[in-house]
Amino acid sequence: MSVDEMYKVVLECLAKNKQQGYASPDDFNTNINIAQLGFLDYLLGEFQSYQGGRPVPKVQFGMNESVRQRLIPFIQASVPLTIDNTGFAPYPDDYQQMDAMYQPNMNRVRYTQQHKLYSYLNSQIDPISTNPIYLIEDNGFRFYPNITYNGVAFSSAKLSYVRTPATIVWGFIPDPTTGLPVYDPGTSTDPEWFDVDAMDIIVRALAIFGVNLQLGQVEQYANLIKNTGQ
Amino acid sequence: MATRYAICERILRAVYGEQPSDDSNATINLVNAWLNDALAAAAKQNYKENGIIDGVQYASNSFYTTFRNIAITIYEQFIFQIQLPQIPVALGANEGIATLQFVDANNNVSDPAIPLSENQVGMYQNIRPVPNKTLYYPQGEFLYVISDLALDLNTAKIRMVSGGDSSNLNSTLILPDDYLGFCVDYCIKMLRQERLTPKDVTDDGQENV
Repeated sequence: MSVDEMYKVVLECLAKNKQQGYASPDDFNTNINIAQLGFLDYLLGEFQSYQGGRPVPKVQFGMNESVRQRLIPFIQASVPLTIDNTGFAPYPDDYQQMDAMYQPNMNRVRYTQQHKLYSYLNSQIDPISTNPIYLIEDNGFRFYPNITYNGVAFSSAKLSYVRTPATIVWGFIPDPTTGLPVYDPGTSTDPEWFDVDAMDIIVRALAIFGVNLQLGQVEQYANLIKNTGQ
Repeated sequence: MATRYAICERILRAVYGEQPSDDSNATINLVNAWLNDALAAAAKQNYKENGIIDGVQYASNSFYTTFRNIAITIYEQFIFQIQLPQIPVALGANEGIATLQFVDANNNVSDPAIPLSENQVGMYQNIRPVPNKTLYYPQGEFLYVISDLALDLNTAKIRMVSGGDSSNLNSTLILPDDYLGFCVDYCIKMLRQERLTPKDVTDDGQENV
């Protein structure tokens, strides 16, 4: 689904469900991107849906193939990380969330939190020299072993992660006669989501505009636009 | 016959009910550590069951492994020390160790040495030495050999109850199939216990379990 189709669906829904409903391109661009990040958060696993004593949301990344399939456009697989002597490797610029961390030989690198670090570092059953671990820090990952800590080099790892979706932009040029915005594919950025997910994002964007529609209703509007070419 | 790694993998899959994810807490090394305990328990079970079946308690041959090229060092005058690959299982007085032999530089192998139980050690030291016989007694992870020969120029060859080389995950697990289930059950029980134990999921300076 192109950004132009998304914008048309939003306009159609606003027009039919809200008095004097209209969304300017700027408003659309702002709200559609808030909506896509909200949807991304939903698929990655929202803290809000945790239950007491059971920190597992209703929908979470890795839960099943269906959730992963929806995030496939954003999963960067086996990205090599260069680790310095202190065990630090910065996050990729578009990093959102960890998927998996591997050693170069494809054995896993285990994750730990800072308050369990001592336990991992002193384990004799799984010594870190042969069973590396990593922590997440402010700007990147911290790996053990490393040269500074125990003189053992661990210089590279492979990271699979979920990246940030590209910002959706409905670009336009003013109509020379009317001054109204006219879609300009050259300055636009289409959503990277699959069509079904783009519909979910539209539903969320409409909620931000103040129109609460079910997904099925939005799909009807989308089909109407596709069929009539409006 | 399966490698230690394959058995550990089977146990992990049973514990997690699927292929373990990279978030799984139990590791192959951890299972391998439990497996050593399980093997000892299986050997003891076999020892008891043989007593019921045959009227005589013994560990079946399938539990034994031969270790070679083990260094011999001088411990005291006429006493030599041999470090075992593991502490022998406590079957009877000496049945964790079946035979001890010595191999010289030309690969000549001696007759098996004669084992002493702990109380026989004291007794032996108060009697006249038995000519041309080498005696030994196990103690913890060591064997002590009583001899006036220069045994430290040789290496030891030992048959003992063992699951094989526990430091090599690709080595064959020395365990008869009829006791494999026993070992697997033992490990699963221990690992499930770890998984079911309530965890302190907070980092607040308090032990909340």
